[in-house]
Amino acid sequence: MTFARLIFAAALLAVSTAALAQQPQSAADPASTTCSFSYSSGPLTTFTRYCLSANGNIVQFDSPSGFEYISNGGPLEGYGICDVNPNVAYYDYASTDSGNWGPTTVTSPNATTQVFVRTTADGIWQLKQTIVQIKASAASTGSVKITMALKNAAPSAGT
Amino acid sequence: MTLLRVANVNNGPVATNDEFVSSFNAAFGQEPGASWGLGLTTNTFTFAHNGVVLSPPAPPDPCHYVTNIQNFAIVGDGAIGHVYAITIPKGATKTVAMTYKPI
Repeated sequence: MTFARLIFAAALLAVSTAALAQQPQSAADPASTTCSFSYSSGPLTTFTRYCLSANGNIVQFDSPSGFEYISNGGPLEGYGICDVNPNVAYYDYASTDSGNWGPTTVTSPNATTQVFVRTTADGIWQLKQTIVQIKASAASTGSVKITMALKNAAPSAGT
Repeated sequence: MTLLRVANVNNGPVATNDEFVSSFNAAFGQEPGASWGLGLTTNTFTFAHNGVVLSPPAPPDPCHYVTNIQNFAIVGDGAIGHVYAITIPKGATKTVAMTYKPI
């Protein structure tokens, strides 16, 4: 490599570093195990209770009362996507996340539903989670229905 | 795209003695003796999908989730989940639904 090429490479590296430093930082919500939205239903024998984080994770789930499934030992529940080409992963499991999600917008359309909308930090994927309480009855435990709508918002097609 | 939902299920005070099994449409984790546990069942059948058990239940990389998949029923420390393989063209939205229910 000639001296001129070395100078050019050094200059290119300096410019690239400066450009990276000027990129806007994501205002991503950090992973959270905090209970933000709590639901319960049913009599003693079918009692069902769960709690959602602000990012759309189930961080606690017991049924009947005191029979816990998720929060024992620290909750790890949530969602992940992989953009197969170019092999980029995005995930949030409450106790840990991939660090490449944007902030979450939460709405409560009714007493049994929470909607969580979140876009990846690169703006390519938008995930809308609709989490609905199916109430317990005297004959049946309750349940949690999760609908995940994933939108490709990329300027070019993904896979 | 690969879309994954997963839950580390720990029934009772001992995390390493739970029983796990999965099928195409569901995955379950329960306390020994078929006493109580949690299941995750898909409500969407229009995409390639599979219930999964992951053990150990380390947070899975959605691009490499197969690393910890258990193809047989196991006793130990595990997670239940569901995986979908979906093609989503530019501007399109694809939707899946699933249900967590005590068993």
